Amino acid sequence: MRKLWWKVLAILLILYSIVWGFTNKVPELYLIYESIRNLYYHVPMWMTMMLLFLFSFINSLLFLSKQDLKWHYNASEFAKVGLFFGCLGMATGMEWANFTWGQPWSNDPKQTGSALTMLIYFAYLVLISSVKNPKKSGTIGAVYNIFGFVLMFPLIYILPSMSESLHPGTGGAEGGLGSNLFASDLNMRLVFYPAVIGWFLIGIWISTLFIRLKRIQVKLINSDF
Amino acid sequence: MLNHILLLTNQINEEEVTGLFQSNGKIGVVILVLSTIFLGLMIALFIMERRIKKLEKKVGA
Repeated sequence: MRKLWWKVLAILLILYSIVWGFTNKVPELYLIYESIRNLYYHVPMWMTMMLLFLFSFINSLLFLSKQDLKWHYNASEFAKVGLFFGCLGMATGMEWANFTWGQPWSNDPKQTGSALTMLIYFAYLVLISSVKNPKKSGTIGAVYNIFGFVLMFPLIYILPSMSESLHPGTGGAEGGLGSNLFASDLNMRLVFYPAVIGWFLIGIWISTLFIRLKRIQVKLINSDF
Repeated sequence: MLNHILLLTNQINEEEVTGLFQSNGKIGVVILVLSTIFLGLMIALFIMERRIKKLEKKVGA
């Protein structure tokens, strides 16, 4: 958690995606044109959110089985940072949609699904802060977290891919993007995958900082400074 | 430099290889700006990490 190398690696990967992402060759797509490059920046925000929610989920499971409060604190801090990335993903998605789909919000299934996911996790934060006893707060929060995490998959993946949606990779996508966007363009994948890894690492780094601060807070409260 | 890499990896044509900021529709400037912002934010993260380290020493975590 304190090592330097993976943080420097993350910065290099993202710098690579900034430099190469603007200058590499991208497929010509109707209506989307150069903004397809947003793929390198908007999508990693969501993927980082999902990774951090996964870690939050794992820590919730660990808390339920081991009953050590540190797992509960990890779970809540991962959820907080995950929500931060979700907000960035939502904002950048609405900005992108405004210029390619005509309006920032189209009630697109993936948009509403991801908004619902974020509401679920905001509710998680409210829930754990409403219960005063730490162990009780941890237990009830962990159970809720598990349900929330599992719900994320139908909301963001399963239902949108089954319904008519503007997002690529879903049934009936208009605007020229099909589900072979990720599968076929090598030039884009060469920038996209490193960008995702870079942002994963940044998301983890920010989470570790939050977690370390939380531990300091808990220590101070417990020893009544 | 960037332009020569782009040329060798078949991303741009021969005519576009001029100065970094003059060619490619001055996209080089955008790259510079974004890199600056990004590096600035990363430096902020490093500073935060250092302060947390100091706090951890103080509290004995």
